[in-house]
Amino acid sequence: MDLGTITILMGAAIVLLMMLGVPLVFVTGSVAVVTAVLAFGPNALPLISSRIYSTVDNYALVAVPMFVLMAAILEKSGVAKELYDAMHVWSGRLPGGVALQTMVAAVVMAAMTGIVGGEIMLLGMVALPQMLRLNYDRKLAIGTICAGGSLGTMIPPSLVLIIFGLTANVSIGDLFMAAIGPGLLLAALYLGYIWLRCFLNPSLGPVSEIGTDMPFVEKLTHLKGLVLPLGVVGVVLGSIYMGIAAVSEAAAVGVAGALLCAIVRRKLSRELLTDSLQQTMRVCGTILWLTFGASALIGVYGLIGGTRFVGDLMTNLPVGPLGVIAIMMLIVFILGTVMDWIGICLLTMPIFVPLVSQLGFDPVWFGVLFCVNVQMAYLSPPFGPAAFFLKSVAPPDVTLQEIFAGLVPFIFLQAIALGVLLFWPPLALWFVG
Amino acid sequence: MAGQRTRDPLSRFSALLGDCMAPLFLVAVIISVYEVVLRYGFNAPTSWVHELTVLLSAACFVVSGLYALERREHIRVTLVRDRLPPRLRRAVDLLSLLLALIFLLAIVWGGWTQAWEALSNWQSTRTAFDSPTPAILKPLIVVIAALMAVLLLVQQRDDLR
Repeated sequence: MDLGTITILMGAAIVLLMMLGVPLVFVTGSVAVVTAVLAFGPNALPLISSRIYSTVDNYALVAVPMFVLMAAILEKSGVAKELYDAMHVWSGRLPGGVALQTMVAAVVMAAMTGIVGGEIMLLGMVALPQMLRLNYDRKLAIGTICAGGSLGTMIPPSLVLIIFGLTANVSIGDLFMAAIGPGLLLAALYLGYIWLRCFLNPSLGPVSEIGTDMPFVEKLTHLKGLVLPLGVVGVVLGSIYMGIAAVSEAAAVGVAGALLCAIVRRKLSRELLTDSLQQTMRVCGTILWLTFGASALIGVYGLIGGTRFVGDLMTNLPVGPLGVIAIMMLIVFILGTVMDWIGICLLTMPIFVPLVSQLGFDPVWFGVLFCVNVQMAYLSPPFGPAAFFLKSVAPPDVTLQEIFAGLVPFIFLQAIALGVLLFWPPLALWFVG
Repeated sequence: MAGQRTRDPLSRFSALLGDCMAPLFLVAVIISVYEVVLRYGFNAPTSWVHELTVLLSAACFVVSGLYALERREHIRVTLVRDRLPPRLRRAVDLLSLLLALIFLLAIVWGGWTQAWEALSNWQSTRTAFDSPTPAILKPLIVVIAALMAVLLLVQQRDDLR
C-alpha cells in the first residue's frame, strides 16, 4: 500500500471514530497502535510508552498546570467577577456600552487565564443576564460574550501558544510576545464592530443608566481591588517578555501571586485550594492524555514516512509559498470544526512547522496564525466549543442555533484578522526581539 | 449525581489517588518560587528544583488520566453518538471500549519491560541531582494505563446494568 492510501485511511478512520464519540485520546492512540503493528510488527509497541515518557519528562510542560492553577485560584477567589463589576460602572451612557465594557473586561480576563471555557461561562453568567435585561440585541450580546471569552486562546498566557511552542520547538516567550499585536487587533475589531452596529442602530444596545449617578472618584475606588491581581499578571508576563524567568518559573510565581491575592481578599480557604488543585488535575488529565495519544500517532506516522510524504506533497503544489501557508490554515480550520485544538496542534504542526521554516517563514508568526485560526474554529459550527460553554450557563430559551447565528459576524472579523496577519507578518513579529 | 451513587473500589481509588496527588502541584509551585528567590535574590541556584518539579508534575500528569477517566471527562464529540438509537449507541460504546483497550494495553505491553528494568536498577537521570525520575515514571505509566483499562471495563459493566 502506498503512503497516499495509508494517509487517507488513517485520516478517514480518525474522523469517523471521532464523530462516533470515541474519546479523542483513544482514537489517536489506537490508530497509532494499529498502524505501528501493521507497519513494523509488535516490536514497535515500546515506542508508544517511550513517547509518553519523553512527553512528560519536560520542564516546559510544567507551565501548563501552573497557569491552570493560577487561573483557577484567581477565578475562585472572585477576582474575575470583581473585575467585571468594577468595569461595569463605566459603561455609562454609550450606545452598546455594556457590550463594549464586557469586551474590555474579557480582554483583561484573558490576560489572567489561558483557559477559555471558564471565561465564557463566567461572562455568560454575569454579563448575559445584564444585557438581556437591558434589551440588548440577543445575537449581539451572545456574540460579544463568546468572541470576547475566547480571546483567552490568543492573549498570553495562552495554553494554545504553550502547547504550540512545545510541539514546534519555538520559544514560548517569543510566541507570547508575537501574540500581543494580533490579540489587540482582534479586540479592536470586535470593539469597533460592536460600536458601529450600536451607533448605526442604537436599539441594538440601548443606553443604560448604570453608573451615571455615581461620582467619578467612586468609580475609581471600585478599581482599587484590581491593582494586586493585575500587578501579579503584569509581573508574570513582564518577566517572560523581558526574558528574566523561564515560562514555568514565571507561572509558578504567578500561582504564588494568585494565592497572595486570595489571602488579601480573605478568600483563601482549604476548600478553595482543594477545588483549584482538583480542577488543575482534571484539565491535565484531559489535555495531557490527549497529548499522549496524538504524539504517539504522529510519531508512528513520521516513522512510516508520512511526514515527509505530506511535506513533499505540499511543497510541490503550484500555489507559491504563501499559498501553501493558506492551505495549511484551511486544513487547520476544517479540522478545527470537528477536532479539539490540542489534537490538531500535535497532529499537524510536526508536519507543517518544518515546511514553514523551509519556505522561509518565521515559525513564531505561523504559531500566532495557528492561534487566531484555532480561536476562529472555537467559534464555528457545528462543534464550536464556545457555543456549548455559553449554552451550558445561558437561560434555556437561548438555543444553540441562536448562539451560532450570533457568532457569524465575529467569525468574519476573525477571518479578517487572519488575513491581515497572513499578508502582514510584522503585526506579530514587530514585538519579537 | 456522580458523588451520590455507590461506586466500586477502583473508581473510589482513582478519585482518591488524584485528590491526593493534586497537592503535589502546590509543592512544585513552592519549590519553584524558592528556586526563583535563591537564584534571582541570592544568586545561588539549586541543583534539584528543576528535576524535582518535573518529577512531581509528570507523576501528576500520568495519574491525571485515570482521574479524568473516572470522571468520564476525556474530550469527545458526543453530538452524533447521542442521537443514535440505543442499540447502535451501545455498539459504538463497545467499539470505543475496544479502541481504548488497544491503546492502553499497547502501553502496558510495550512498556513493561523497560519499566521493570528502570525500576529494578533504580534508573536515575545521572545529573547533579540524580533523581530517580525514570525509575518512578516508567512503571507509573504502565500501572496507570493498566488501571485505566480495568476501570473502563468496570464502567462498561456499570453502564450495562
